[in-house]
Formats: sequence, structure tokens, C-alpha cells
Amino acid sequence: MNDRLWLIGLLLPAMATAQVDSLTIAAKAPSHVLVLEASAGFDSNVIFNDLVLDLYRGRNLSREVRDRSYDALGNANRGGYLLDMNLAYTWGRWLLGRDKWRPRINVAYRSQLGLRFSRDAFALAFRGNKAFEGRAASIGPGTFQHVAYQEIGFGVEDHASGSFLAVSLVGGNRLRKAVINQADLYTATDGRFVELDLDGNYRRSDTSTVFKPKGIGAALSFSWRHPVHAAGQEMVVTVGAEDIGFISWGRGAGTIGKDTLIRYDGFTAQSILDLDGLIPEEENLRDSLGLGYTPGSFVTLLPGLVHARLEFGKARRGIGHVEHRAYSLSVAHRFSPGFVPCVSAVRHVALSRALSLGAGVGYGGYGGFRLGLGLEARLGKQVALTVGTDNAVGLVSSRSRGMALATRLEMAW
Amino acid sequence: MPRPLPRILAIVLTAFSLLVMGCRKDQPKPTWDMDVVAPLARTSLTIGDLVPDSLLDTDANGNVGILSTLHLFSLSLDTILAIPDTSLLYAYALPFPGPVSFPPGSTFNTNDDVTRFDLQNLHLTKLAVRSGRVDIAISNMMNGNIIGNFALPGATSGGSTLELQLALPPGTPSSPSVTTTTRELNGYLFDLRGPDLNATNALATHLWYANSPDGNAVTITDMDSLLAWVTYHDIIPEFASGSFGTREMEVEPATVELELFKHITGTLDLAQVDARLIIRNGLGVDAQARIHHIRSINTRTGTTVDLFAPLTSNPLNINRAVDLGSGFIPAANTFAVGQGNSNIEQFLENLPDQIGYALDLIINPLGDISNGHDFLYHDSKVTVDLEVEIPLRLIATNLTLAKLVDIDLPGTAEAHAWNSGILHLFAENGFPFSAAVQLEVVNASGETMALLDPGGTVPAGVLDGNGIVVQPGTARIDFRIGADKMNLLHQSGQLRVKAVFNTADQSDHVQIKDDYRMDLQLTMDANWVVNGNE
Repeated sequence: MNDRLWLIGLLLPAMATAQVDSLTIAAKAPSHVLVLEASAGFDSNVIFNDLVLDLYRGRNLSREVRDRSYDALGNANRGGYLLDMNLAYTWGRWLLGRDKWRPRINVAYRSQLGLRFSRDAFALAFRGNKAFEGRAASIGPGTFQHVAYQEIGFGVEDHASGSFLAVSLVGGNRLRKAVINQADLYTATDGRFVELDLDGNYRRSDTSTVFKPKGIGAALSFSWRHPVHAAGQEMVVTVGAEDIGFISWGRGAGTIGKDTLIRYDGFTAQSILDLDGLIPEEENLRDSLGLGYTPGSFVTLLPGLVHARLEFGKARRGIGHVEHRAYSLSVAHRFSPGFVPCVSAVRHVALSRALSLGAGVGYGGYGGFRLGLGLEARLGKQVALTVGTDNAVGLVSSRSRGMALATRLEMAW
Repeated sequence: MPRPLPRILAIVLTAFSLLVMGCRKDQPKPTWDMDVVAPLARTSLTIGDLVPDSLLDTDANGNVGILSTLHLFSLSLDTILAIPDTSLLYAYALPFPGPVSFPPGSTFNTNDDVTRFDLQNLHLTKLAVRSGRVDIAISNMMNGNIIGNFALPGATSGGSTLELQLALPPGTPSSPSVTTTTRELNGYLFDLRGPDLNATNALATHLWYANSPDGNAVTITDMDSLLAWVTYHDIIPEFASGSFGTREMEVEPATVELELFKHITGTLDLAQVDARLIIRNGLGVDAQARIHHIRSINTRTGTTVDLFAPLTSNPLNINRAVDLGSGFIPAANTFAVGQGNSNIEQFLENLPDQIGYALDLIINPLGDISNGHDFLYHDSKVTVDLEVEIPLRLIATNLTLAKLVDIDLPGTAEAHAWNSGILHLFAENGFPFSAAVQLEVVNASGETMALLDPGGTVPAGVLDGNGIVVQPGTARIDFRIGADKMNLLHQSGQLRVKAVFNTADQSDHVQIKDDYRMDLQLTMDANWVVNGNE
């Protein structure tokens, strides 16, 4: 129980993918709107939370914990995490001669990891290669990407509908990306040799500095919201994209690309009595296998998100003349390894004038089926705080998959 | 009217900053164990790994032998000729009460003398000085400026004799002036035959005093005197000749370490052994050696074997070096020791790690037969070496090689990734002997803390009818390292590798060939902890 309290404390404010949302209505729109959003979470369709939490906390991973996830593995194993913090500010009552437009600025930090992996790759990583003695382990195909970046965006927002368009300058912090088209690791009996049949590449950002940006890029984000009348009722359609762009990683970055067969049967000792370096260092081993980095810059796409949403049903007014619709149906996709299109349905219920509850179901993303919950509280007429999760079961069960928490603080004046 | 929100805004911005900056950087790394089988190392063992290459000798047929030279002792210059520091005092005073007045420039005393060096029974006629010096101190009690002159007519360098002049300021009997000077003697050649060229160890000396020509007349009485101290320091000869006399020098019993068999125990049966005692004489004197014993000492078994050979029972006459005028050629005097005239085979099969010896050396045993032309140079010495030649045609029975090996494992005694496991040693043995291999964890004192069992034996290669290996013997030997032994290994960082060799044929000697080899590969089957070294 304490473990979960700790996580909630750490991640507050944290993640969810906007099952709880608001619609800014044009009439008497406030002059200033500040929105702070933060979300964090991980998800997988196969890996249980106890394994992920032990990894995160630096604990010892018991055989039981590893075996539980291993037993759940199939042919399409996915996982990923997202840490996202964004602060957006809009102000004024007109821009470029249009009284519905106003400038928008935002700063954000995002760290995102996604992976798609084989059952054998998991077994090698968490159990070792002894089980593969005398046969090959199929490590591929698989993909892994971890990218962290900061951005500052400038744009314009239609305060009547909430639609906006923004262009961001992106500073890359870290990249690790592996694409394995095919990889088979054969372990000879008694470890006489190991043989890797590899077709893949690995890229990483500059590791020589910590605080200096390792790459630079640009991104485009937008959201277009439009009211429609269908089936005898008012609806709102939203389509949008977030961080559609790229990062050019600097010359300190490195690439390993191989389509080859590598055989290793131990280092050559001068004498059997000269066993210094019996266990080779990772770097020496990589050099022995011809897996040295080729330095040089390259460009990678950002793990951008595209989404569409349909909102309908009874509307409820919030702060700054915001209305919530009672129902929303969403579909989203992120360009990240292991992410599959995500669909969700949410029902909003007003509990009082100051409190409303959102509940929904979703499927896809890095994980599978899940239940979401959210709570919005209005603190006076100018502040609204939303806390939610798109995986309510994961927050309370280490035997489930995925865990997420999100918060949104909106101030209007 | 909307309330201003600076306070809330400040809180929001602070919280946002903390979230961005507050990522944990020092969180511990997760750990988990894995079962890993992997190759570690491979190598080839040749005869050069068992015996240092510098000792190996291969004939045209590829037969390998050992040629080892053991340096027993060396007799250098300082043992034969040491010139002691020598001091002489020359005093001058009026032999009557006086007073006597000497005008400026007048000489009032001349002293011709001979410096005799105490060289015991060496009688040198010539000495070239490599290094050394002469110090002169003169005390003046006279009331005028005196000139002191010192010369060595028998000491020349570049055709000039050594001369020194000292200005002696006035003094009194109660407060004499003292003037000193030093002259390096490096490169001077001393004629030690004295002023009449008929003596030995004698260097002509000339000392005289005069009133300074620039001063006043000096009036002296018998109370006024001049005292000169002449001291020869640290004379090291570059060359010396003369008659060195007959001298007997005792070389005290001593031992020298022998590396060749240091790590080997067991039984070794050699087919053939040859040895030579080589005495190199760099002195220009005849000599005779009487060897009391040459002893094979195996400190591990406590066994000693004395060498019995003609050279240990009869005196050995040693020829003198040849003088080239500016150098010398030492005389190499070789005394053969073979299986036919000695017990050299038993001597070496004792696997000595030390050789003991004791002998006497007599210089000029027949007297001065060179007629005073004995000589030595600074680099002259007498050396005694024992050279052994062992064709590696042998029978090895439980011949054991033990060696300590430093193991540089990652991690610490408290935290290490390698938890436990089995080391597999794969061998293809092309040698005509088997090798039983044993690994022990030892502490800093070399005491066994744990045995890595079970170990095993690599079989010998298969021999043909001529005793030549035609097919390697193969084996896999396992060494189990449990968690407790792994902890010990990390604590000590040392393994003792012990290999017990037995030749394939225990009745006939087998020949070791230079192309014999044993290919080895080490692999591990281990329980490995990810991030366990941290």
C-alpha cells in the first residue's frame, strides 16, 4: 500500500490522455489563461507492474516477478512510458486584427520510450542464455526508442473554439534507438562460442556532456475544434496533432549499423596463466565484436501524436465559460515503437456545481484494455484542477499492466 | 472583477520547475541474476610457456633442449686490489735556535721523498688512476709570506708531471696559518718504481719552500716550522701492473637461486645431460681453483646432491688474460661435466632451486713466473658459471608445475556480479605427457583457502612407434565455484594453478618437439547478477 502512495506522491501532478477535457466557450472569454499539464505513466500489453516498479526503484528482481511477465509474453510484445510536462499561456483579446485570436506560448519537457520485443529477447535479458544452450534465440525483430527533449512553442489560439496552431523549437536531450530487423543468437553447448546473426542498427545521442543540448529541431502542433449538428444534437469534432517534427542530433552522436554474422569464442590470452581481464569490459567486448560507434549527426522524427475526438451530450459550463460534454469518443496514435492506435470512450458526470467525475474505457497505445477515472474540481471561478488516470486498476495492483496519472491545472482571469 | 493571481501563479511556476528539475539522478540500479554460458578466453600452450624462451634450444630436427647458464660467483677488482687511503706528514724547522733571515725569493728548504702505498703482497710498478684525489694542507708558523711547492715527478698525465704551488700567508707558532688544496688524480699514470726506478709501490715526492719574491725578508728561529700533510684518497685503478704475488682467497660457502626448476616438483628422468664449468679469468695472473663442493639443493624436498666430477676432486688450473695494451681478453677455462665422468644427471634430476658452492682461488700458484708483468684492468674479474645442456628427452612422473596467478575480477569482495558457476577448461593436448590440472584459491600467504573441484586430467597425445605425437588428447575439465568460493576468490584475487605432468610412456624417454602445443579454451557457466558489481 505504501508503494502506491509513494507513486501517487511522486507523480502528482501526472498523466492520462485527456479523458477529462474542457471546451472554452467564446462568450466573455477571460483575458489570460494559464494551463499546466503533467502526465506520467507506463503501459505494456505483457509486462506486469511489479517488474516495472522493481526496475524503476532499483530493487532486486525476483525470479517470480520475472517469470510472471515472461509467461505472459506472446508474439507481439509491446511497452513504453511517457513523462510529459507542459505549461501553456494565452493572453489578450485579439491578434492580427481578429478579435477571437490571441497569442499562445508554451514550454514543455517530454521523455518517451517505446519498444517492441520478442519473447526470446526478454528471456535473454532477464534469464540469461543458458536456456538457449545448443540452439538459437530469436532476438528480433524488435524496436526500441527512448527520446527526451524540451521545446518552446509560439502560436495563435482561437479562444472561441480552443483551436490553435503552434510552431516549436526543440532541443534534444537524449536519444537511444535500436532497430533490429533480424537477430539470432546461437549459444554453443558449454559456451564454446556464441554466434550472432544480426541485421540492425543502433543510434545514440552524444554522451560526452550532460546538460548541453545534444540536438536541435522543430515541431508543429495544432488542434482544430469544430461544432457540428448530427443525429439531432450538437457535437464537437476535434482533430489535432502534437509534436510532428524532427531533431537533428549533433556530431557527437553515434551509430552502429550491422548486417553480419559475429562469432565470439573468447579473448586471446598470451598465456592461460595470464587471465587479467577474464571478464571483458563492455567497451572492449563491443570492439572485439566489431560493434564500435561511427560518429556523426543524423535526423530522427519526434514521437508525435495525432488524434481525433467526438464530443456530444449535455454540456456543463466550467470556469472561464468552459463547457464539458457528457460523452466523448477518441482515437489517437503516437509515432513510437510499440504504440498501436488507441481508442477510448469517456462519460462525464457532474457531482455538484464544483465537482465532476469522468469515467471511461480505452484500448491500445502501449498497452491493452483499461479503465479510466478523472475528477475535476473548480476552486472558485478562476481555477480548475483535474486529476485523473487512464489506468485506474494499474494504480492499485502490481499484478496488472500499466500505471498512469495525470493532472491539469487551469487558471483564467 | 477577477482577483489577481500572482501568488497562485508563483506556486504553479515553482511546482513546474521542481517537476522539471527534480528527476532522480542517483537512484539505485536494479539487479537480477541470469544463467549465462559464454566463452572467456583461449590460448595455446607451447614449450616456451613452460620453459622461458631464452633457455630453449632447438636442433635441426625440431628437438627441443634447455641451455641454461647459472652464474655462481664473481671476483672483482676490489677483492684483488684495494689501494688504502694514505697520509704522509712532512715537517720543516731550523735545526738550530737562529734567527736566520731569508731575502725575498730565496729557497730555504727542499725535501725529496717517496710515498709508499701499503698494498700487502702486491708489488706494483705501474698504476693508472681511474679516479681519486690528493689533498694537501700546509701549516705556516713563520712571520712572512711563503711559497710552498709540491710535485709528484712519477705522476704524469699527457706528458706533464703533477705540480702544485700554495701561497702560505704569515702565521705564528701560537696561531699558524693553514692553507689547503685538492687535486683530482683521474687519468694520471703513477710510476711506482720510485725515484731510482728500482722499487715497487713507491711514488716519488718533491716538496720545497721559498720566501715570496714579492714580500720582505723573513726572519725565522727554531720555534717557527712548516708542516705539510699529504693524503691520497679513494684511489681506484684503471690499470695496474707488477707482481701480484701468490695469494690464496677463500670463497665462503654460498648459494644462488635457480629459476629453471623453481616451480616444479615430482620426478624427472632425463635421457641425457651435459654441463660445463666455465671459469673466465680477466686478470693477468695465472690461478688455480680448488672446488670444495657444488651442491644441488631442492629446498621443497630438503634433498641435496653434491656434484661428483673430476673438477670437484682435482685443482683446476686457470690461464691468465691477454693484455692488449688498452684492454684485455679474458681467458675462458672450460671444464666438462658429463654423464660419463660425473653424477650430473642425478644432480639435475633433483630439480634444484638453489645451487650451493664453496671454493678456494690461488693467484700465481707457481710464483712470479711473469717476471713482474701481472696486470689487471678496472673491468677485470674472475667469474665462474655452470652451463647445463638438457635435451628434452625425458620421462616425467608426477612432475608438478605450480604457479600463482592474479585474477582480476570485476567488482569487490562485497559486491560482485559473478555469483557462482562452473569454469570449463577445454584442452587439445599435443604434448606427449598428460596434465592433471588443479585450481586452488589461496590467500596472501599462499595458503590454500579452497579447492575448485573436481578438476581433472588432460590426456597425453597419442604416440607413434617413434615416440612422436600423432594425435592430440582432448578433454573437458570442470571447476565448480560455489558462492562461498567465489567470495573467497574475490577476497584473495589469487589462484594457484597446479599441473601434474606424466609422460605417455613411463619406460622410454620421449622427445619434446618444438611444434608441440596444447590448445586451451576457458568458458563459463555462471550465475551472473546484472549490476552486481556496483
